[in-house]
Amino acid sequence: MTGRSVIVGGVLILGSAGIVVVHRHLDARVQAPPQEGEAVWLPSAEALRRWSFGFEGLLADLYWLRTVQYYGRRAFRPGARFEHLEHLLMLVTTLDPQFIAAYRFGAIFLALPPPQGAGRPDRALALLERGIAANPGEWRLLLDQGFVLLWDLRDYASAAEVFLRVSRHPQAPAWTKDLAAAVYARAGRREIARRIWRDRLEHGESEHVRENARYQLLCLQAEEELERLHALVRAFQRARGRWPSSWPEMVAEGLLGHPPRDPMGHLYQLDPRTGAVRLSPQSPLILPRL
Amino acid sequence: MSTVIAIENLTKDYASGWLRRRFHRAVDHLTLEVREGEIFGLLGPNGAGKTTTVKLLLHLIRPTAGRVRLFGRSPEELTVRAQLGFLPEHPSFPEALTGRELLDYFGRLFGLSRVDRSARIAAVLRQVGIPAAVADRPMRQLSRGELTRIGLAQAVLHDPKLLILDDPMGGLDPDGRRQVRDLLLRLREEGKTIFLSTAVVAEAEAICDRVALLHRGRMRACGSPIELAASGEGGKVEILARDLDARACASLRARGCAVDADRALVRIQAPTSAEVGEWVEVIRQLGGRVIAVSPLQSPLERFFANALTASERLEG
Amino acid sequence: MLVAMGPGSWRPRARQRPRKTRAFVRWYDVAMIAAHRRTSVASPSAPAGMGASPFGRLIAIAFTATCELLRERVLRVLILFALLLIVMTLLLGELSVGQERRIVLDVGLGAMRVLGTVMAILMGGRLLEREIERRTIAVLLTKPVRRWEVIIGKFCGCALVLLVSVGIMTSVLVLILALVAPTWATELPLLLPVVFLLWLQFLLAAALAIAFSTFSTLTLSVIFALGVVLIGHASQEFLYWAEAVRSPALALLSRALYYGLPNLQHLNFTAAIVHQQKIAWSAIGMASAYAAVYLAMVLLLAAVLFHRREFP
Repeated sequence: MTGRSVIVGGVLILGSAGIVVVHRHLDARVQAPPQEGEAVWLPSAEALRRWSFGFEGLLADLYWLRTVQYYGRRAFRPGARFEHLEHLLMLVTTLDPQFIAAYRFGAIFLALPPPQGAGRPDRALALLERGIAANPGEWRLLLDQGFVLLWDLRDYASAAEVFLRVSRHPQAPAWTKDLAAAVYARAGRREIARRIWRDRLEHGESEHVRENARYQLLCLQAEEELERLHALVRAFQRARGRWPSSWPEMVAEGLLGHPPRDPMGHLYQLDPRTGAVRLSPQSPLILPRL
Repeated sequence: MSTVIAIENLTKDYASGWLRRRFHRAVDHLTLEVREGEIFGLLGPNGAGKTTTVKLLLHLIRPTAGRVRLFGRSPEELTVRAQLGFLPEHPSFPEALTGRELLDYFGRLFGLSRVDRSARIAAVLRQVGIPAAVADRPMRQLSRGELTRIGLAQAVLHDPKLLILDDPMGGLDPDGRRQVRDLLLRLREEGKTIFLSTAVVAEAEAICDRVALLHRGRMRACGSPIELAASGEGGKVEILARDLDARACASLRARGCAVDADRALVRIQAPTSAEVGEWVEVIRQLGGRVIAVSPLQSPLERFFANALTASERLEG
Repeated sequence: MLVAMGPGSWRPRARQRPRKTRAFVRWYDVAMIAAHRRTSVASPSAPAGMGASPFGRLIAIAFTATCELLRERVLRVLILFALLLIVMTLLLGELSVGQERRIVLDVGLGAMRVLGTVMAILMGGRLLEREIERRTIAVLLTKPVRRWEVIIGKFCGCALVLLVSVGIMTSVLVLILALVAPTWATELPLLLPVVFLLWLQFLLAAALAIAFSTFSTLTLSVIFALGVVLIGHASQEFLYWAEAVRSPALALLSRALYYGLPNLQHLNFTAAIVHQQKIAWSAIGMASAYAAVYLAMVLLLAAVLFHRREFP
């Protein structure tokens, strides 16, 4: 009786091992040839949703797992390409249009330059646009759109506009206003930046916020002054054919009433060889902010 | 005579419940022997453990303790089972098959050749009283009595040395019962050993060489019906009589009869079956006419009834 | 009382038989009687009570199982349904301009796969469970048969019925293919291996249902077997999970599930035939070996479970 149990147990163990061995052989056979196929089955997103029989959420989760894995397998490798990433993200977000994480991380994966990502900020923006259309209340998607414009496309003006829209969203935190103002400043739209900072200076929710607004306003002022001084230095150079050697020379010329100081009282620096105007290293103001 | 069935200390607990397991003891330290060539009856009320004992004999369930030997071997062995015929309680068989197909199927399992099979099938069908037309109908269309007969046919098909029959009279009409009784007696003549269980004592009394009384899993009595009955008070008969007047009834009551006078008909319960003739004589002398005499309780039934009451009183 | 009426009184009831017996059963009975003649196992001189050879017993059990299954109305309905579905592909093919061949193969093989699997699971689940539930198994087990012989015999009966069903369905499919595609004759050698592997899939499903039915009810074993088959078509997912999860324990579990569950995609070559690709013999052989080993293990497990079971 026990002898037979031992034999049956042995056969079961051997047989299971046999199953694994043959299974691996089959796996190798199936997965070897279609390298280009990526072993990822990509149906049409809409068709998949129609044939999901009420398991949209579960399928979305499965495809999200695959997406993460697809990205994880390729990211940070030399020569990484992500040609199926957008399709996978489309599948996930079509199956579950409320899958916020898929839009947000998906946009990051898409927008980052290779080898960290697909290097397609335009597609990232389109993905986020779909997300925003499906989730009008989700201000974070708009914020992400702004960041893609800011960091990946360096389109400060558009980014600033997006951030301003975010800041007007009732649920968005107040710091998004600061962000909008900073990007407007970076885009050179100082008037609108100043308006926002002034508003923050008056209505800021904490002392820290108001202090920052005051500082930013000073920076803006310094930026404007630097621009004006640069124009004057240019005018000097056009008249004399050389760069001014120091501020007193400019004062002597009558271009300036006195040596210029930044809003914090430090003298601006003038480079006599290149004509460049800078803030003093001692000045607490730092430009540009972004 | 050699021992065919040997049961030693057989015990079976059924477990129920999943988280809190509870045990119910169906058979409790049962020890008995069945000798070659005898008809042995396992008797007892419903739930006494008869069917459990039969299933333990056949190794359909495993004993909690104790052991079973058939022909001195384990019932698991194929050579043992080749010598064994079994009729279950409430027999049922694959519905889509006909009786003849079932017998043919089982015949093949015993290794009977095609010629042997057709001859044996015709013979056993005749023995159990199944007409050929019934044997060719799918078994889902058969009545319970017909299924019992098919069950008996498959049990004796391969001419086994030992028959284990769980309630062979169940579902049969009186005629069928008589036929089965005849069949069993004939099989005993051929030297077969028969182990049967039944709840009807009178049936067992008529044909069994020895009987055992089972109650709540334990054996309460064992022996030949005649021995057991002799040790008891004797049976009871019911006599139906007419033309007995009130005085005659009173006189019968005085002699220890229970008398139930209903208009012209008088129902008399006499205390012992041994003296039926005397009672009939007494009634005739009192001016009555005896219409029918029927056994109410055989001596063995009376003995068992008393044994059960005694054991119940003992266990509370 | 029944007997007292005499044999003559049975005639009116006996006449019901021809009415109840359908043509389908009749041709099958003829086949069975013919096979009985050929497979008579014991020589007439063998003394009764010696018992048949194990092989003879297996054949007897398998044959009776086949006979029982073929008389089930449900299965005949399923075959009819399969035929109807395959006929429906003609209609669909008509609608798809120029793609009739593709549609016929896709829908036809798909219908075969679904219906064959459902048939296999229902048959495998019912065969044993029904005998256990109706307690007819008790009599069978007191005959000189071993319990594993019952399992294997019943499975062989199932396999035979499935083979017949697959044969019928394939014939109809080829017939329809011949109507829409002039190349059908050249495709036959491509189609047969695919159908063979399809049959192996059905065998796996039936064996699983039998294994589950040794310890569970019909409904549950059908659900279990269906679940395993469905997961078996998507078991690749477990491999992805194994690589995706961080916890090594979970990865091991996923991997164990991947190798433990039957990978039915490895037996599914429907796409190849649709695209007229030739399947290498080595691929067919390897897939068959996989199915065979897996089947053997499932049946062994079923036998062990059945052996331990009591029948109160």
